[in-house]
Amino acid sequence: MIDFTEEQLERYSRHILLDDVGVDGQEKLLQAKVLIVGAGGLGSPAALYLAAAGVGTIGIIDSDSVEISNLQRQIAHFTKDIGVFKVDSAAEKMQAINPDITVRTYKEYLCAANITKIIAGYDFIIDGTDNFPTKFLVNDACIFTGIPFSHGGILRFNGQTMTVVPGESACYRCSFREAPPPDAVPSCAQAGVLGAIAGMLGTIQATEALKYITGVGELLTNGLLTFDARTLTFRKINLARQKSCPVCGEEPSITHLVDAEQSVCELKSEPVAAPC
Amino acid sequence: MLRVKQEIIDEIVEHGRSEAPLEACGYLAEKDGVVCKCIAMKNIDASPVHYSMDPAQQFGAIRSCRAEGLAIRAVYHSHPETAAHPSAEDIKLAYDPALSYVIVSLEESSPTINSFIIKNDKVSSEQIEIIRAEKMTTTITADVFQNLRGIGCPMNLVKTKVAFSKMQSGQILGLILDNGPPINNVPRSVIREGHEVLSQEQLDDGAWSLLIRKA
Repeated sequence: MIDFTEEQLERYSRHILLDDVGVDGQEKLLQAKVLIVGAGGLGSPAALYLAAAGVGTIGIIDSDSVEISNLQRQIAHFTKDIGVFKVDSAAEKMQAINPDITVRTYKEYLCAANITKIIAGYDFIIDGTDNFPTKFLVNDACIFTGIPFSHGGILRFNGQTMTVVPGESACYRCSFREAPPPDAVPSCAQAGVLGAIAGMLGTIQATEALKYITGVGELLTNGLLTFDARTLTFRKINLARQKSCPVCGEEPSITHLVDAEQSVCELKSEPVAAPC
Repeated sequence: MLRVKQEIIDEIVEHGRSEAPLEACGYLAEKDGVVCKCIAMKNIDASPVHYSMDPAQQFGAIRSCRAEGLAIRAVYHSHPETAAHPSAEDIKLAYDPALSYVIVSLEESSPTINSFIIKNDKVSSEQIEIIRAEKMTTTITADVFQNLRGIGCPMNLVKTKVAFSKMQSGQILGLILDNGPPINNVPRSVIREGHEVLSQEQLDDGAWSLLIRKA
């Protein structure tokens, strides 16, 4: 049992007061480890809220530096941070909100070669990446290691998210077999994105992480939540685990991690794990 | 002297009232010199001015008393409309000089109860001593105590929840809470979480002292 300091009691009082979270839930949060993949549009709000919530160890991985075009939606980064590594910029804000927590930064591009080592030991992963190859890589690695994660994506006015508990619920590949061909789907850099929807989706992902850690409520598993900000319409599409799933099905064809092909133009313009 | 437990007095009065306007009757049984059982009998006369017991029911009552280690100590009956004194007929029908004859009068709003010994048509009054159950004054002591004087909402509730988190189910938390919002809010919240507020009393300085059992 953690002996909360007076400062911690005040800091986390609104969690402790919640019947379903309480002292036990806050203790779980302080002991939890969450990895955020991508310090961009989705990763920024998720990182700030998880830090504020007192998630004891937060890892954040991104190989990019802050650019001025990021600031319209990547709220962990300020104008002064242009040129700074995104993970350093995000870590500074997280520690400023809550010096109580430990932030681990990874200035790397997540790929098949390093993902297993990086995600090991984390309780939950937030996928805030901006590209399909990495999304599938995160899914497959989480299935192999049994780490639950929240998938998220945004484009233009739309967002989508689902939570995957490996071995229990539908995985990303159960519904989306493989990454679309390079350039089949435009990136944020090409199609644009309404800045605030990054906050809408990233905070849903943070909420799922907090729910998973504290055991409150029901996770967004076996369902894809989508929204269209223009009409502010939310839909929840029911999904089910597929026996034929190439990674979590009965006879998986994917048995080891590989890096999918990445669009060449994307690699140039918006390098790798930089999320929208 | 007839020594009777308070609750038996209450039963006699209750029986009398339930039968009114007819007379009610029954036996009082004792153990260790104290009447501790009231055996309501049927008044087969079904009359407002006299009573008779059913002999078969009388034997049954005596048998069950013996089985329970009790002894018949008195006969009681009610006077729905008259004073608690034996009528001429009561005296005439008082066959057993070893028993006391208890009469409850319901003519006034607060009932009167008297006991008599009747020997050879001679009536003498018998004093009744009412035995009250010992007052239950078990002192509950807190396993954990928190003085939350001067601590406002919601930190007082936060500290209460932290205290509970370190306690076992069934243990007692003693709390001092300020008057005003603290006493209005904290007990309500702990009750909602399933804990039991055992006592709550205001102290001289206006603050409140509570004992709460952890769920």
